[in-house]
Amino acid sequence: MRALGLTLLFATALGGCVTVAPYEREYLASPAMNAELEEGEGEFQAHVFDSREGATGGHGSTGGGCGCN
Amino acid sequence: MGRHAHAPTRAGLLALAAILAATLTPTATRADEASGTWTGAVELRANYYWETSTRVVAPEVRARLVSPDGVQVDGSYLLDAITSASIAAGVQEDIRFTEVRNQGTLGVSREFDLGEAQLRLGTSGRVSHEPDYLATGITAYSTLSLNQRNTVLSLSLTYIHDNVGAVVRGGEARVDDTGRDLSDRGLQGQLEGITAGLTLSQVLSPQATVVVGYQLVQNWGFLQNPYRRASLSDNLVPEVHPGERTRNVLFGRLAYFVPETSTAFHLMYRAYMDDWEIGAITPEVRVYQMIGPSVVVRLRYRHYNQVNSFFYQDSYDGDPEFLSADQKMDRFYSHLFGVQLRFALDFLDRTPLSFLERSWIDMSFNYWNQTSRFGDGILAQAGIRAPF
Repeated sequence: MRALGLTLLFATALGGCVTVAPYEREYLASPAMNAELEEGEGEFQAHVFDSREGATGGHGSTGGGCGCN
Repeated sequence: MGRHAHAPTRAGLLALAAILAATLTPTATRADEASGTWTGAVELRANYYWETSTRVVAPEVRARLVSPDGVQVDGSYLLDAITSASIAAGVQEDIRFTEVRNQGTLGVSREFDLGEAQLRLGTSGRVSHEPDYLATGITAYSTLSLNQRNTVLSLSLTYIHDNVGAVVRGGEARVDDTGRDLSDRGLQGQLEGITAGLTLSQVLSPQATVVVGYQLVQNWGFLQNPYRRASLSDNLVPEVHPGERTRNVLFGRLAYFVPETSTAFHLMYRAYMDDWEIGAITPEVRVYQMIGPSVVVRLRYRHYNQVNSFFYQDSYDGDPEFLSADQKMDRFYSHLFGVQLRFALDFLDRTPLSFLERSWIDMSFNYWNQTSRFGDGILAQAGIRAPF
């Protein structure tokens, strides 16, 4: 939990001193920077990883079935 | 912790209902009301997974619809056709079987303008059905955008309830004179769980963003596999896993765009630990290269490394409290190498297919090298996403 707190604090501190206006986000809007475009692909991959690995998470809920138990 | 301690309370259900009601309340601020048009996207995907003992073919359709007054509805349907042999199921007999899984999701959300901030409230549900497994889940979430959306804080809470059954796999279906399915061995147990998630997304500069998050997962109930058999004094016996599991996940993603070369670098990391003493790390790097405005090539490398649970052994003697034949409980590592091509269909402008001119197609191929008994695998996917 301490690591989590420090990480959140660090990230907030990094961004807290920066305001990037919408018209400055040309590069952030690039398809190469938009992780949302990979959501559909990522959900099935997460489902496969959950059925083959002991760890889970970090990519949203993937649901049961698939012999994940 | 007892099972009843985790049961969804009436207060929890009322909270979900309140979120749904607030989402649909017409007095809320309306983001796109001026345009008066419905927007959204439809996505068709084909997913394929192969390993020595398992093949999965899974077509999928996803859709998003956003009303003029800002209500967003998301839905999806996925059909999983899984052909698997004994090793994937963990049993010792050599049986090959095919199962079909149907999964549907539906969600609704709405963003409220709070002046200096924007608050999105939403809820979603999921049902997954296959002959021996029924999985259900409901999620409530909120997303708070601050500082001109430079900072986005997301909270989510998910409750799952699964019915774990067993059927006789392989061979002909067994029915009696009335058509009753005799291969159905019935309900074996129930698995439940709650996942709480917190994610912070932060714009760092016009070229960099960072995402950090934490998930706490609590599972309880039937946490073993009804088919797998562990080796106990040279006999095969059903698995016995602990009845509870607490899982902690810390993850992050740092993305940076290099304008001079139109290249983006994404560094990802996940650290996992649970009270079954499984610990795992998952670093990943992705490199995206823009080729003009309409083509993206992505290369990725993902590494996974875990240590074994406290109760896993290849074979057992004596009178152990827990028994497992689950490869996911053992120590192993893996490497995944992948390539993806994504391109826009803007060249369809002024053709009969111009309705697809804003669509993107993606095709990916991943090779997965694993040291577990599952062996190496191939993950291939293709999709088209058409906004409207």
